[in-house]
Amino acid sequence: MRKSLRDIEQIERYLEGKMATEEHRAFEVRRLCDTQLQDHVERQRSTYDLIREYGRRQMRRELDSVYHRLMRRPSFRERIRRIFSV
Amino acid sequence: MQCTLSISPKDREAFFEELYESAFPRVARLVRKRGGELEEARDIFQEAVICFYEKSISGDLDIRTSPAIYVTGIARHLWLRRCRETQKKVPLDRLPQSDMMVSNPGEEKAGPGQQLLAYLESAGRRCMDLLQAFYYHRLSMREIAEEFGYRGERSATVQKYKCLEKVRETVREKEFLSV
Repeated sequence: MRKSLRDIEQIERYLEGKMATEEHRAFEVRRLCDTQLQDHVERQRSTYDLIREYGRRQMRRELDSVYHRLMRRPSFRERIRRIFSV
Repeated sequence: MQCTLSISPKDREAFFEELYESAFPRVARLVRKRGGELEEARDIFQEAVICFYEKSISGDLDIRTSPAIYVTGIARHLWLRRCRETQKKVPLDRLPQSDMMVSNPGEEKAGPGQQLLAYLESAGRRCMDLLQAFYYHRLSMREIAEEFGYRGERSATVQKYKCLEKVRETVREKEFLSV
């Protein structure tokens, strides 16, 4: 695996709190002095947030499609309709 | 003990269907009791299912409680919180829904985050699918290698990091462009 990918793996361990104390400390020092590393860490942090958002969006789509399929069944539709008819 | 869900999309679909049938009517009723409409019930239910899903794949739940009960409980909590936050009143201009099958596509707020996601959903689809399989759905590398057709776990892992690198670059590019 090339160096840039090993760096990503390392940043991941840092962000997940999986580094041993010494390694964590050494990484923090590097980060303070290295603006490119700071940039990578922040972007990677955002990337994990994006992945979660992407996952949730896909889940919502899946749930919508299940809902619509169920609403085509008269028994289910009627149960729900009765609940919301005033 | 962990509550482990089956993780293939097909199994997810069957699981969601079962959840809707067993829990949605109950959630609908509790939303209706405080003057909520169908759309709100759907929204709350979705949030509750997603919350339940995320907790259960990270092993936070007790499997002795049924998913339907969990989801209903979460939905009740979310709904009550929403009611408190908005101090819900029924709007005067709210018309009764005549056709309950009309889908109501969620209006997603425009913004750099949403635009970036939309971009990734098209141009970055393959990478994002791989990344979500690992980081969101928490499939093992072995399952991912099988599902995505990689030679093996090692190969899938390398691809995972390559995708992370690509998406990370996209995050920077898109932020740069929006300045």
